[in-house]
Amino acid sequence: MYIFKNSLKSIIRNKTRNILIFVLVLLIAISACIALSIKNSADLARETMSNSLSITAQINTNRQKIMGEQPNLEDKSQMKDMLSQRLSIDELKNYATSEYVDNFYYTCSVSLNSSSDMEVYETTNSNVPEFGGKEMGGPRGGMQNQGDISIVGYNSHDGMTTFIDGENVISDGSVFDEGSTDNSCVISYELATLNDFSVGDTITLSNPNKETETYKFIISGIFKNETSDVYANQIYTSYESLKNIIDSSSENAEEIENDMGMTMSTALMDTTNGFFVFSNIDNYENFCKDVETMGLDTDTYTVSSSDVNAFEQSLLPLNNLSKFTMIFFVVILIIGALILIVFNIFSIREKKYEIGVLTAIGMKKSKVATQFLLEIFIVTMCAILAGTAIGALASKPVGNYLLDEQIQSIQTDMQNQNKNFGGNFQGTPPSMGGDMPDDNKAPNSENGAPENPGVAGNNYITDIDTTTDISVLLSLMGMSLILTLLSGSVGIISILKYDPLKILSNRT
Amino acid sequence: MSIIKMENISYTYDKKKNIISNLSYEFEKGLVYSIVGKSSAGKTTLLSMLSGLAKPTNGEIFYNDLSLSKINQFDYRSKYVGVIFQSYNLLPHLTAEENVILSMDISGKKIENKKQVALELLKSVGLNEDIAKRKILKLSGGEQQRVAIARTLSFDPDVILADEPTGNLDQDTENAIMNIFIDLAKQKNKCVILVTHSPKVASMSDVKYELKKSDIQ
Ligand SMILES: Nc1ncnc2c1ncn2[C@@H]1O[C@H](COP(=O)(O)OP(=O)(O)O)[C@@H](O)[C@H]1O
Ligand SMILES: [Mg+2]
Repeated sequence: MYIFKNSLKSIIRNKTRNILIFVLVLLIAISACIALSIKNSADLARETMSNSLSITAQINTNRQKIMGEQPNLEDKSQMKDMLSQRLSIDELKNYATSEYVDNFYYTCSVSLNSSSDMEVYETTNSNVPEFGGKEMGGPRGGMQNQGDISIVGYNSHDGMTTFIDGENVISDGSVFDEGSTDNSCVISYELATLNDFSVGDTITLSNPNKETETYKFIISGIFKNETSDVYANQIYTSYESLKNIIDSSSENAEEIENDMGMTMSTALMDTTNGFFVFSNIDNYENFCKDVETMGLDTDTYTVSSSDVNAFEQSLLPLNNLSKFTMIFFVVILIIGALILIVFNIFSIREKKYEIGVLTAIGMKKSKVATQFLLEIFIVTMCAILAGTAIGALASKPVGNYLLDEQIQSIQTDMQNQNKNFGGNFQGTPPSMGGDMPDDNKAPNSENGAPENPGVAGNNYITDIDTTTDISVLLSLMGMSLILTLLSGSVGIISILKYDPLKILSNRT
Repeated sequence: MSIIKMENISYTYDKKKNIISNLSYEFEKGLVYSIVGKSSAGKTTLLSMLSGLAKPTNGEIFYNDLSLSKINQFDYRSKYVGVIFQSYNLLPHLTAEENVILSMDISGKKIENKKQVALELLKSVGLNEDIAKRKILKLSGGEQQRVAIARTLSFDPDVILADEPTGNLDQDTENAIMNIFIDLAKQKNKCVILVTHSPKVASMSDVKYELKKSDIQ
């Protein structure tokens, strides 16, 4: 107890030095508190977002690897072949058995021709979504004739994300049943109006390679899209219905010569895609590892998810900020600790006589050391508490200010990139333009798009609710303890080494 | 029965010449000893060993038949042996009173109303309350010497070691202090060991021991 009292007295006695230490530690504490709070909220944001986000992923050819590793691939068609490789539905189903997968659905799509008496919608949009677009491994059957209607078959309603998120709305009739084989389908409001189709009518479509090969579809529903006409020439049916068509087409296939004089089959070429749904990021990441152990050839295939990209993207500024502040914090901590050590070396020199007297009159060295440490600790602790209070109040405005700066700098980078590559540079992922989870959705870049197509409508986290919670507080307490011990260690060593006999010979 | 016993002790600072050679002696309770000797004879060195601050190069010192090497030297100095240093060794930024209380605290002995006890002790060595509240820095050599004495008495040690405790005091004060030491020995059965140059002090003590410069170099 008297040790505590003595250290308090000693603190008051050495006002100037202790005020300096206080200010120094205060500054460290404020920056530490802000840095830790920002990191904390970044972690928290990531966690809450990743928990609330459902993620859809696909297994595609690893374009990067294939193109990157074989830049000198002589046979271009060989690369094309590699890029157009696909996993079969059965293989995909096998990967879907991974415990991390929440849901799995798949689609296939083919291109068919409308009959001569049927009108198709002339879209003003050059960016019609080609089912199985670039990300899905590119259009297949490039040698074949393309039809003017694309049919997509879903094995499950879960896969019809444009309907689930309300972009497409059934305005008449209903969606085909899951697993139905009766060729019932839903068509767009545009097609329905152009051709005066209504629910219950039959549409006849033909194989673009072989006009005599026709298929009939029964309209079970009509969907409307208020915002875009990109789905106008798409017809949706069940996977099973479409699969039957594809199978029968290949059974009845013939060899013909195409425009370029090459021999090809008339069989309909289908594009198959599997979609894995995860309830959170962790499951997605575990799945990425899991498929490898399940035998996925990672040289050819890779798991990817635009949801995850978008997620990472939205966290980018916050994560950058959290990284920078942590580095800043560590630097401050090191400099601060060094200054404190120097301070304490000086104070120990001043105190040498005191230590000598105390040990000469029988005070145990451990108690002298405790008193000495307590003195630093009390000052440090007060400064840390004050710093934490200030830091907690300042972390929100400072954090948000820094976050704004960070977002702006990222946006500036992106604008420059966009300029360099002419607007909608493909390789600029940050432009997620709000189209988060859906691969089927068209990028919203019509003519007259906003000035910075990549920037507008980004989904960055722009506001943080920094939380200086108990974990931050505990970290700071721990830090003050470490700082005290670290900076006091020099003093302690000299206390422990001090020979009290010197006190007798050194002074007269 | 002796309270402190030295057995064939020698001391050397630099391993060349012995300051003290092969010295044996016993100190008893209830007596005032004065150790006299020329300057540099090794008197302070002897007190350092008796207080446990220095270890004899050879030989052994016993406190109540326990070898000093087996007693925690901090306990020994804070509870059983009070040392009045030649250079006082007070804490300059503390007041006289605080210096005295500090020793009581360190001793760990249960003392009621330490402030009161400290003031009375200081008064008994001739320092009034005004001086008691002053910082050591603002006291004269003689006043500091008396604070050092009061500090040593504060935790009631069995043995009092004093290195020229009256060196800075006038004749009257020297007398008063000597009477305190004699009282401690006679009334409280303490063992008081003084190093002194004063013939007066030597004559007032029970046993006079002359430390000669060691012949064996
Ligand atoms: N720390 C030391 N290192 C080396 N020699 C010392 C040390 N302290 C004292 N001495 C020497 O030991 C001798 C005795 O010193 P000391 O015991 O202080 O004598 P006294 O107190 O009798 O005057 C002196 O010659 C002194 O120079
Ligand atoms: Mg001396």
